[in-house]
Amino acid sequence: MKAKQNWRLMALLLPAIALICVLFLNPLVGVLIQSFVGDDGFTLKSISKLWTSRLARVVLERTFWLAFTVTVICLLVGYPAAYYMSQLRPRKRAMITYLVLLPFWISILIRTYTWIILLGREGLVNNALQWLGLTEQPVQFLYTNFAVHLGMVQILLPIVILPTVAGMVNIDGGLIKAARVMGASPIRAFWSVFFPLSLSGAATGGLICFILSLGFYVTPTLLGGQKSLIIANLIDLQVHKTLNWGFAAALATALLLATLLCLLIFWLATRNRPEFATGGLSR
Amino acid sequence: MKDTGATIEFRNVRKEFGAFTALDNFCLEVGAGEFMTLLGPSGSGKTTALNALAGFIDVGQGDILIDGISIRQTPTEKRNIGMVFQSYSLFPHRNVLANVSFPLQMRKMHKAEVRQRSMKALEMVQLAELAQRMPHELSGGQKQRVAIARALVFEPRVLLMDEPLGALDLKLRESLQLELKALQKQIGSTVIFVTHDQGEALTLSDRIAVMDQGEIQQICTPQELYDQPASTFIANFIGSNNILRVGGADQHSIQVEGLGRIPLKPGTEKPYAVGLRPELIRRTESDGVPAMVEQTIFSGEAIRYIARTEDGTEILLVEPRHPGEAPLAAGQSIALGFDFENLIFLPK
Repeated sequence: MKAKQNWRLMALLLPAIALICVLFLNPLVGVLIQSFVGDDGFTLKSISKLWTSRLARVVLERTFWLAFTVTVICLLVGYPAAYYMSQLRPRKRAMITYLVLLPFWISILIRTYTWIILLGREGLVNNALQWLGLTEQPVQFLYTNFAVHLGMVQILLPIVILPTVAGMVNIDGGLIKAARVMGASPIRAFWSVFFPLSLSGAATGGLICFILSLGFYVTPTLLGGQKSLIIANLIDLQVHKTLNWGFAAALATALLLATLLCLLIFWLATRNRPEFATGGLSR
Repeated sequence: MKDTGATIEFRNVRKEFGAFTALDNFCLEVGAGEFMTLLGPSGSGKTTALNALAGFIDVGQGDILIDGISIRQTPTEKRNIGMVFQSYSLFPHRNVLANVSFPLQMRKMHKAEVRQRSMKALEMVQLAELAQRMPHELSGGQKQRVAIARALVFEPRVLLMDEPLGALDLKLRESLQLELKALQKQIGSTVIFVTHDQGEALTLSDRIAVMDQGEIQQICTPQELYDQPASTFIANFIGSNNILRVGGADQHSIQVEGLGRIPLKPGTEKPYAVGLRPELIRRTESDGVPAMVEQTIFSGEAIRYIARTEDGTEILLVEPRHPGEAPLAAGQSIALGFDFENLIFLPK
């Protein structure tokens, strides 16, 4: 009886599973196969190019480094904001959460173009700097690493803040009191109790941010220009310009494996820590 | 018993939360090494008093002194108070040993000494072999033992306990009560214990302060509280009691429902009600108050009878059980005997 009911409940998952199989797994397998198919059947040429081609290596390294620095900046900027939010009363926190989510109402494309308008040679920022007399010549903001980081951090910040807040809200306030009465100053109570317990939420946010950063395309392309090619640009180039679909597929496979590797490392590093088991999201 | 406890004094402490007065001119003196229990229903201000002493809340008015020195300006971490919380409040990311070590680490003690003293504290609560466990691997009783070890490890002169046994089941609670009492005797700290469980208060305390609506209603030893409750509220709250209304009175006697005419000592005022403990009523052959058994309740070591007197008053009496003797059946007629000096005259 019980088993039968479980099966009926499982049936509710079928539409979602079917959708994933057709729209996600199917093309994914296609890409995997593509990376082993050349003009004359099976080949390892595309895959081996991942480590023989200097371009591929440089771009992969750059992509990872960009994702890493963006994640670190998001965590450094997001953590204090999340702490502030976690200390608010629930009603006010909900209000601030809406504000944090507000940028999601605007398309990434529009937000990225807005940065172009703001950061351009004749843009608002340069005009203001010149008017204030801080600089004679317009500063080159666009098509720099700075612009790419600015754009990506702006988009990814909410994704880091929200799980961090959720993790912090779950921390029992009684623990901080307990630490205080046992002789910890407010600062020591923070570092020895609150901070370690907040890491699970922050790590979840950081992980999502890192994985999303690896696959970013629009923002780095528009704000970074030609000089700072990252993996998504390279894949696009292989698909649309050089028509080397095999190599494009190999690059995509590498990106997928890298993402899975990140998840695996996270899982291995946290599996014995009970506070990470829920990813800090709920208890 | 070592004499290491500090004296504690609350002087006219007043604390309001919005329109709610949690503590109203609260005065309390606790002697060195004394086990003082704050007993009262929730909202009576007992936890507020504890939080004010720990420094979690600022008092609006009045002063709190430890060993005669005001601690109003002393931050929580400098007050040197041990505390056990109802929710255990163990640090989930530290193992048992690291939890117990925490107060010593905060006092910048040498590593080897921290370890040695922490292990000693764990041995005191018989948990030395679980030193490396994480809190989530412990049972409720074990968690609370760790919390007690952590509160005692730096030998605080003041120990606060906020319903520390409230989350545990009855058997465990009773065994931990005895352990707690023994530990306190051994260490000699002054204890302020907050509970709403009157049985726990009677078992553990040197003195009990009964609180209601931010004020102390009565403060005395457990025996005095049991024998001479100051009000109907307390007489009802502590143990079971027959509370009997008082009717007409003249100079020499009062009319008590169920019991009839009771002589009044000259000079005493007419009480609001009279209390009579069920275990102080005995069955007599003839010259008692006639009543009829309505219900017989077997409770292991004793038998409780609910009887009704001729004027319709319900009276509870308790008798020790004698094996082999059948209890009275419902409908049986009995006579209730009692001594005048066992009556409790309740002024309100």
